Amino acid sequence: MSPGEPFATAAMLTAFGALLASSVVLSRASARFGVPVALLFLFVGVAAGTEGLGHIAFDDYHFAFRVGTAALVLILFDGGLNTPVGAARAVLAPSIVLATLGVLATTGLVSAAAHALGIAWTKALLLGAIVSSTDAAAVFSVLKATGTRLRQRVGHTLELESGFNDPMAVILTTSLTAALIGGGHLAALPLAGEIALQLAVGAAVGFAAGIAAHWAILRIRLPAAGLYPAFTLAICCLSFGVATLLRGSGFLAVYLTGMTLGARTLPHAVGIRRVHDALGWLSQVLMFLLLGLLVYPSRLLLVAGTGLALAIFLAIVARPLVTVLLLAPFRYEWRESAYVGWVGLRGAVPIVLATIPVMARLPGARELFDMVFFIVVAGAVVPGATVPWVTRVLGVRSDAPPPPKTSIEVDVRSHLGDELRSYFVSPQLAVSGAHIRDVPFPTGAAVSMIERGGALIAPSGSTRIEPGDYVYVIAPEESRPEVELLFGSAEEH
Amino acid sequence: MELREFFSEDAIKLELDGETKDDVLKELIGLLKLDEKSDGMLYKMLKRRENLGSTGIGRGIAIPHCRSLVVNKLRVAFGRKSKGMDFKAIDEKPVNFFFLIVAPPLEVSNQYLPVLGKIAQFSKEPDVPQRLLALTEPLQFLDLLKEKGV
Repeated sequence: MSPGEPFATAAMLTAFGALLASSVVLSRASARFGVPVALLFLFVGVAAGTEGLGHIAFDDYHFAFRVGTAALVLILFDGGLNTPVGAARAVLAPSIVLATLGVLATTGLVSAAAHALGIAWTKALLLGAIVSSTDAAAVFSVLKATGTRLRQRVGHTLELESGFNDPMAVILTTSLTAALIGGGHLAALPLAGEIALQLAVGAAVGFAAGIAAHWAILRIRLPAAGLYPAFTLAICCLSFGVATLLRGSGFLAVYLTGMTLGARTLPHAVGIRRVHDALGWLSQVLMFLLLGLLVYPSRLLLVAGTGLALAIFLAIVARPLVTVLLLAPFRYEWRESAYVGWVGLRGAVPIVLATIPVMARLPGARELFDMVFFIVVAGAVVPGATVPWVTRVLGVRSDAPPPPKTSIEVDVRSHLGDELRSYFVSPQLAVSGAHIRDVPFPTGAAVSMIERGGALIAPSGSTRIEPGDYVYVIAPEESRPEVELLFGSAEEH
Repeated sequence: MELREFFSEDAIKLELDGETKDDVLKELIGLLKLDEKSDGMLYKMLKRRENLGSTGIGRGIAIPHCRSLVVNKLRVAFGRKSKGMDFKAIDEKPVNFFFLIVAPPLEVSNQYLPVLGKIAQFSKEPDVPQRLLALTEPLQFLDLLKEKGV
């Protein structure tokens, strides 16, 4: 044992525990102030940093990049796992257009604005690329905290776009940094080829890993339920690692692997989802804490003017303009496009990406890092704080009923062929007001429980199904169409 | 209770003209021969039900349905669109066959759910889509229901 141990480790864990606990507890303030919860984690990091109350000296950009990358991998995998693939398919094309052309157009506009503010073209382009990706988690954390639900189409567009645009921003940033290191010569054609190659390899590895993992997970019998999430975690790391080693986009791969697995029935699915949800949260906290520690507030003041101007330009001009133009062919209502444009908040990705030029020792990279930090924070505070209000004013709130207070999840070791789903009873449904014994259920389907006014009811044949009920129906997968003919679409959880 | 008792020849149309979901719903409502105001009310109710999830149950079949004050007894209609159309069905495939059911809000004989169940059951029979596509006149539709014993 080295001298000072175990006290040195204990001191580190105490500091880490205190920071983690402060961040977790502070997350409750997200609803009150209407700011993305992740931003609060960032502030805890800043407060604990060299110029804050904690005086923790941290200046290791390599370490921050590694942790940031690992955290993003876990966050993207969790995002993919929870994407409702069936419903999201309808917005696949617009999301991909926003994530590719949108990122390029935003990069172009922001870099032009940065150049107009006196930043050299090459560095302005790099800055544009770094801040071009959005973070749906930032928007959803505010919406969730304030109990607002978005129209499905709008919510899914934001979600899918932010999953797909991270890879694009990463490719642009790494390629531009490499080009700048190599003498500042930028060629559009090789860059376009590089982007296409990375996306193609990333997509191929991502899908292949998802399909192979699903095949394997159905066949291997692991001795403990807790090993299943360990296996999916391994798949998540492998998907990113292999895709990146093959010169593909690891971030795209890991998102698609998550989506491929999430769309399929998995053994111990409840446990797997819980673990990845927790890992996703832990990653968010860790990443933002660490990025917060890297920041020197005094240095931020030096870039405040340019940073603020660019943040305003990005939020008010670049992002809304790009979104409205690119969504126009997809027949979105103007209010939907405007909303997607306004709430395209930035998250941790730009800050992680801003460490790449620093690590590459690009001249002026630290100034760039500070500016990116400023743009992310200003952009998250201003449009972020208006999210609940804008959602209401633009009328993009969902008319769907609130989610049930109860949540039943059936965890199965292997696929049984039956599913338990919950349905909200609207007055327009054929079963509204009917006795259960009169409902023409397909073979094998039955009501297992009803939630009414926050209380649970064990149903019998004489129980009436009332409007406003949440009815839990167990049915074989092949009977789903007939069940939904009677009960409408199942609730998404 | 037998399904064919509810269908009449004039509420069966073997070539619907509508090209969109809304047009087809309006055309089916037209088969019930109600007044214009009732047509409008019925259309609104059917749309509300469709917004809760498409009644296209797959295999080219949709069963739009609702309760409404505009009828005083259970009414049904059948329409066919041979080339199929997008009805946002659960299997995402085009829909060719439409069974419309409209019931009054209060029924003495409680026929709404049994009729809905019977049509869903009839639709599940393997040869039904093919047989419905082969119909050349409305009467054959009634014969098919009779043959299937529904």
